[in-house]
This record gives sequence, C-alpha cells and structure tokens, in this order.
Amino acid sequence: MTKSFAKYAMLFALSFKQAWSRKANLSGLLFFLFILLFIYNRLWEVIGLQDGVKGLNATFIWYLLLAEMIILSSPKMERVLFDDIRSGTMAYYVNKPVSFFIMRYCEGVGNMTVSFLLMGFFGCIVTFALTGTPPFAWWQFPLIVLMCYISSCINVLFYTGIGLCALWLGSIRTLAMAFERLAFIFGGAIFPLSIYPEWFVDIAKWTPFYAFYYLTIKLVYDFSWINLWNAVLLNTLWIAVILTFIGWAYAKLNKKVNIYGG
Amino acid sequence: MSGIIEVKQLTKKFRLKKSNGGIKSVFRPEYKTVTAVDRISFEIGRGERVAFIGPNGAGKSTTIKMLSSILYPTSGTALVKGLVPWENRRKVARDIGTVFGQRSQLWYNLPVQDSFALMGKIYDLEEVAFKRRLSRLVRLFAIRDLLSSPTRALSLGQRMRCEIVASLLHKPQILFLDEPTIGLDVTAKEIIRDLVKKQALEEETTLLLTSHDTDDMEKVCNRVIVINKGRIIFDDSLNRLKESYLNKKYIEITTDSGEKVRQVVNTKETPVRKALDELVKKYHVADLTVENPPMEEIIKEIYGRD
Amino acid sequence: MADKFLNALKLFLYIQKSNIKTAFLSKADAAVNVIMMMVNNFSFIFMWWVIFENKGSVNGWNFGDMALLFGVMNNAFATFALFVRGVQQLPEFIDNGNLDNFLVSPRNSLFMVSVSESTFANWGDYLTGFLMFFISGHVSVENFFLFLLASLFAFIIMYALRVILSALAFWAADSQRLGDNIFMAFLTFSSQPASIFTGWYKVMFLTVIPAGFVSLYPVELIKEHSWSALAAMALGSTIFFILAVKIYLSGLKRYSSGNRFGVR
Repeated sequence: MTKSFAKYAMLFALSFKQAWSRKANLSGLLFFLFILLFIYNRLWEVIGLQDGVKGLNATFIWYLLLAEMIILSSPKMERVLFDDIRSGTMAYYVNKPVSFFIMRYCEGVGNMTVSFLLMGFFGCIVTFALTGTPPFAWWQFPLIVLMCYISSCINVLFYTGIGLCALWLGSIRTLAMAFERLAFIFGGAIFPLSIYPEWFVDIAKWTPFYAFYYLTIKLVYDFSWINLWNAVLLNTLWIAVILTFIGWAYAKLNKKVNIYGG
Repeated sequence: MSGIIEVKQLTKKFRLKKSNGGIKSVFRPEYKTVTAVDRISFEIGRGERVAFIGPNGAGKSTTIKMLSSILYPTSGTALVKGLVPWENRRKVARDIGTVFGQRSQLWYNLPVQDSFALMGKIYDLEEVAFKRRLSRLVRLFAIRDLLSSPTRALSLGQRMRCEIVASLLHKPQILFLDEPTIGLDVTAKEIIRDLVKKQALEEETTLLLTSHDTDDMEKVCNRVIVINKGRIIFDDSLNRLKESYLNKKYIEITTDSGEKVRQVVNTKETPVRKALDELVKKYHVADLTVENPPMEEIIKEIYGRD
Repeated sequence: MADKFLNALKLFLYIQKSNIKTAFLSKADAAVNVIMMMVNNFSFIFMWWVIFENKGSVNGWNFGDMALLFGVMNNAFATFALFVRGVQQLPEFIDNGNLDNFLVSPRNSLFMVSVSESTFANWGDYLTGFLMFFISGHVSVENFFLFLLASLFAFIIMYALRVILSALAFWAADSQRLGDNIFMAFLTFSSQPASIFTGWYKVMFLTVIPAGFVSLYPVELIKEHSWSALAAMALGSTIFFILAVKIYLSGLKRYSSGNRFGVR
C-alpha cells in the first residue's frame, strides 16, 4: 500500500516538475486568465454602473477566478488517454506493476497543480487590484481554495474518464468540448447559476457540474458551514457515481487489450 | 559538362539557445553558433547517382534540405537546373522529388491511392498522363496490393515504397532521398535499394541519397561524397572509394563454446575465402558474420591518409 | 494568373472532398460531432441570453445585436476551422520539421499548411451562424449580404492573426501554447458585447487584439449600414493579411527543419 502510494506520488512529482519547466506554456495560460478577468470585470463594471449596484464586479470576478482555476488548470487528459488507447501504448503497461489509469491520473493532477497554484497566486493579485474588497472573510479563504482544489482533482478525473470513451468513439475532441460547455453552463462557470432562471437551475441540480463547480465556487461569496457541508456531501455522492463508471469502462478496456494483445 | 546541380561555398550555420533552466536564461539567453555545413562545393551531372554519406550530424541532411529549397543557407550559392532553389521554390519543386525517411507525405487515414491522386492535383498532372504514370510506378514498385489500404496499415518498408512512388509521380529529373532505409530491416532495405536503382537507371533520374549506412551507397550509387563536420573529405567514384578504403572486411565468429572472435581482413592481400578457410580450420564455428567497416572507421582512415 | 487561381481552386476543392470523405468514414461520428458542436454553441448563446433577459441591454446593446455578433463569429470560425485550420499546426510542423513536406511542394506552402487539416464538426457552426442571423431581428435581403460580407472579413482577420501567432514558432520554439492562448483570448474578446469597451479599452480592442474588427464593426455595418465600418473592416483585413504573409515569409528564412537540437 505505502509502496504503491510512493510510486504514484513520484509520478505526481515528476509531472509537476515537468509542467513547471514549461514557462511559455504557463505564461500563455496566465495571459488568457488575465484577459478573462479583465474582460468580465469590465462587463460587470458596466452592468453595475447601469443598475447602480456597487461591488457587483467583486462578487462576480472572485467567483470567475476560482471557476477558471478549476477549469483552465486541467490538462487535456482526454487526448492523452485517447492517444494511448488508439496507438496501443496502453498495451505496454498491462504487464507493468502499475495501474495505467491511476498513473495517467496522477500525472494529470501533477500537471494541474502547477497551473492551479500559479493561477491562484497571480489571479488573486490581479483580481484584488481590479475589484478591491473581496466578498469573503480572510479566514474562510484557505478553506474555499482547498475545496476548489478538490474540485479541480475531480475535474481531471472527469477528463481522464472521457478519454476512456476512445473505446467507442473515433474522435473525442467534440465530446470533450460539449462536455466542457455543459460544465460551463450547468456548473455556472462564467456566470453563477443565481442569475439563471429557476427552471434552469432545477435541471442543473441533477448534473454533477452543479456540485463540482457551482456549489463549491459559490462559497467565495456565500460562505456558511451549511453550504460547505452541502458541497462536500453532494461532491462525495457524485464521485462515487463517476468512479463506478470509470471502473466499469476500465475493466472493459483491459479485457479488450487482453483479447487483441494491444 | 555543366552540372544539373552546382554548389559553391555553401554554408549553413544554426544559432542555438543555450538553456541552463535558470530564470536568467529566459531574459538573457546565451547563444551558440553551430556550423552544420561549412563552405562545400561540388557539381553533379545529369543521371549521376550520388551518395552523400557521413556520421550523424555531419551536415548531409542540411545540404540536401538547402538543395531542395527547404532551408536558406547562411552564405554561398547553389543552382538546381540553373535556378537558386530557395529563391525559386515553386519552380524547382516541379523538377525535384524528395523522400525523407522520417517524414511522411501520405495521408495517415486515407487509402494510399487517395494520397497519390492528391499529389497529381498538387503537381497539376493531366488525368490520363497521371494514370499512365501511376500504373507504371505501381508495377515497378510492386505496390498494387497496397493501393487501397490506408497509410497507417502499412509496414515501414511498404510505406517507404509508397513514399518513393508519391515523390516520383511528377517525373522529377532529380530525386533527393534522405535516409530512405532508416529503421528498415535487412530485407526491406534490399528491396528499396534495388527499386531505387532500377528506377533511376530506367529514367535517367539524378539521385542524391544520404545515409549513414555504407551498404546504401554500395548498392545504389556510382559516386560518393563523404562529409564530416560540415566539410567534404572525399568526393570520387564508388570504385575509387572501394579500392582505397572499402578493402577491409570485419569477420566475427562465434564458436561452439560461445566464445567470440573478431578478425579484420584486408581483401587486397587476403581473399575473404582464404581468411574464412583458416578460421574454420582453427575454430569450431557456430555462427559468423562478414561486415563492411563502419562509417566511423572509413572516415578515420580517410583523415589518416590526407 | 487566372489559370493559376483556377488550379489552386481545383486543388482546394479536391482537398475538401477528401476531408468530407475522411469524416464520412464513420457517419455516426460525423453526425454526433456536428450536433455536439451545436449544443456547444447554443449553451454559450443561452448564457448570454440569460444576461440580456436579466439586464435588458448592456451599454446600448441588446440580445439581437449579440445574435448578429455570434452569427458573424460562428461563420468566420466555421470557415477557419473547416478550410484553413491547419495553420494551427504550423508551430508543430516547424518544431518537428514536418514543414519540409510543404516546402518541397510546387504550391504556396502557407496555403498547403492551412488546408492540411479540417474538423468536420464545425459545419455545425455554419448552421448556428445563419440561425443567429435569422433570430437577430435584422433580417432583410440587403442585410443578409452585408452579413455574409462581414463574416468574410471577420474570417480573414481571424486567419491572419492565427498565421502571425503560429509563425512566432519560427522564432520561439515553445510558443505553441502561448499562441493558442492568445488566439483564445482573441475569440473571447470578440464574443463580448462590444459596447462595454469604451475609451482606452476600445483602442486596445482595435489594435493589440484586433477583436473589434470581428465584433464591433460587423454589428455596426449590419445594424446601421455604416459604410465607415465596412471600410474599416476591408482596410483592417487587408493590412492584417499582408502583415501575416510578410511575417510568415520572414520566418521561413529562419526555419531549421527539425535540426534545432537543444544544447543543454
């Protein structure tokens, strides 16, 4: 148990290091984040002025920052898995004392962590400069970020799982994109769900994105112990569902690899 | 004789960024200049089959890439059919064919014949002429059975045959082959060599072939240019090279007890047959190989004599 | 000249035929992809519809204006993704030396690189694009032509910008993701109600990231028949296009055909 944990921790560390060394990559990501914050800050500033509401942008931009930290930090795991499965790379790992899926997942999380931390650090500075007083108390912040980090880990799991669909689909790009978009709106990734009509929120509640994104990120402007508890509870439930699917798909995949010998 | 390819003082330098990983290197990178090709000159006549050989990083590919208009040189000139390739890219393209061992010009997912048809369109070939040309090449390279398979389903050797056909469709007068046999097994290498030579003889194609496998030049070419560290160190007929440098064979035997014995034979003084006879008498031979000296040996020797 | 153009067109059509053939290798896949793309687009449009339902208008823009904008953007992007998406691969071709194959061809290498990739799913963008026009509340025959014209100019600017970003790889080896991100920023910038950018924001909006050309001017052109907007788009797309080709050509001189091994 401890041995295999060390194995995967090592994979995590290596991919962390590798992601850290790709400076151009990271600066591109930060650039995009700044543009997003800047544009939407402007949008809410204008709307705030129009409606005569002060501090509207602070609420929405802190929310946006955390949402993007979760969404943008995820590496394109679906593509990695897709290539692995389609090219037969996966077959080479069947006889190695390492779970292929967990291995790729740990690499993905290592990669994600670098982006998450960097975006968090610089994003907070920029957001603070743009909007002033944040909508949360300082002591709540570490807790909120931790929750978002967990969501981010789930996000990577999601996309790694989508990669497994390479079993049935010839191309995975659009599926991943549509999934991303659904996450965007059902999870309220750009605008919080609170501005959407009620019937829509009722639908969203039945999707995993509601818990992973909205309930978690919302803590940034609407923190309470009961909200936190709700987020934890619903997230746990959905993780169980997703893991069941992945376990099933992975077992199928292994069988297929065994039959064809890769 | 005015050559179909003329090269004068051709030089290519690459500037490389030295990276030491530190944050400093992002802001003030240090550069290092590497001279890949260093003032080389030569001339190739129509129908010649030239092997461009040398170890990895000698500048073979860089030279071929300048002649096929891919790279701009740092200085010097070159003429391909009287035109400077990098200034007349599209004109020169119609007279040359290129095969790069490690790159593919075929569409990965589509049947090979679709890629050929696309090539025909790219080179503006007449429908009838194209069909005639294709069927001739298909016969010559024996790829009829491969035409309807997608590229991804081909073995490396099969793919290489198709790549060569693709680059010959527009009937170029000059064919550049950059490491055409790289990664192939012995049989596939033999097949490719035979086909390339046969085609070149039949159509009087001028060949320029790079390789770090000396067998490629022996089987296909009639002239050899040896290049090392960007400089030409030998340029003469294949026969001259054979007489002067390829007169050694490396014989390695494995005895019944698993012992390995290596012997170098100078074929000028001792015929291989005689050397083998002696070895067989002396040892219980279980296995044996006879090989040409590796590239590095030949180059060392050429240097030694200069 | 006309002959050359005709030949290029023939080749272009042939390649598109091959693309469609490739996509139809699996018909179910093709259909799913187109539908997914539309789901994708509509979820984004829905998000903005919600904003406008809540707020009525944002600095003078209403949902009809946004629909025009999305129409133009979807058409422009569809054209980009279906016909010249290959330019996004240029950094990779430069890095691994695969650009060689395009350089030895008797055709314009930028053209060949551009048409080398196509994603069938983006036909869904055209469907979305035209649908958006028809629900924008600005429907007339004249406007339809202006809409097509605006889509064309928007496409040219989008393409030119992408060429410039991709060509950066001639100078900086690992600029692929940077280019991708700047392009994404451009697309995001252009999908906002242009009315929120005033003053210095607007200057930036039209220069550093030429998003205004694909969002502000098209809407002005169709809504107000503003000929100055048309002139600005025509001029802007010409300048950007020429600039892009110039940058690409000067980059080619630095191309090293995968010989760029790092010294550590």
